[in-house]
Amino acid sequence: MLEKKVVIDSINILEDGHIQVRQATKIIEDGKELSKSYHRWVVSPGDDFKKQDKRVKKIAQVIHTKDVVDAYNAKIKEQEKK
Amino acid sequence: MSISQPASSDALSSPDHALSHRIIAADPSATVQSIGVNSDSTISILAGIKFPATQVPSADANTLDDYEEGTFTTTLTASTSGTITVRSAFNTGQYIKIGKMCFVSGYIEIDSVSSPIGTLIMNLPFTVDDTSDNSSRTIGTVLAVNLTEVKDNVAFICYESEAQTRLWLTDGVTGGYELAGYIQANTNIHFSLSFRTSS
Repeated sequence: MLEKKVVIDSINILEDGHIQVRQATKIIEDGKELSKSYHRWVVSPGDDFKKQDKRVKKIAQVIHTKDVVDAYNAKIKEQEKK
Repeated sequence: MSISQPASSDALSSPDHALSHRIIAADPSATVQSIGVNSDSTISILAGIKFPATQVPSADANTLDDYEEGTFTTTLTASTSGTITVRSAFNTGQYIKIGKMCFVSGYIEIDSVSSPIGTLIMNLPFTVDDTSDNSSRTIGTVLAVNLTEVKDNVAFICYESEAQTRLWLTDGVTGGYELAGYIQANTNIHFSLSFRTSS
């Protein structure tokens, strides 16, 4: 029996608060994985994470503190000058 | 995985038939002839190199530790105000990550806009690395068609520690970012760029 599974298979947190998320779409036949494709996105400090996967949302709630968001925004503004 | 002397029946059609070793795969069902170490220490591989699905990052400067292909959904935002809606039939970008380098490409069509003002920003599938002296900064190639007026010298610029790229506009003397206001319905953007990731 063919089955399609879509899972968040990788959540990677960077030092400055970026959350790199990978979604895997797997085609499985009788328990054996026939193919797998990836789709990625990044949740940066300050991004709206309300519609994210439950685990990503929980991580963002913990690590995207005001200090982290402010530091990231300040860095972006500084970089625009260079 | 173990290494043994090649059997006389070794069928590896390697460029170098004088194999010094063959490597027996960890998977017993794999054909042992599919990989071999040549006498000059090069390796012949008849299929591909499969990296772990989850990268095991190496800090060593001579180690290739990752390969991944995939897609990302492109979104465009205006930094100051307004919105830009990308046509859903043309909002998928491709990426290939080899080691720390990520190569992305795609085609975007704008469906509609609502008074966009400011820098035009596009998301990326990975965060750009943060290295000293802005040394991770890269420029991507872009072809933007059907802007509200003629604009030359447009390029995507990737900044350190950002999971996004900004569309940069310059006349060669001054530079600026305020390109979002020139985007309109049916503007289309072809792009390709590469950047260094953090792992």
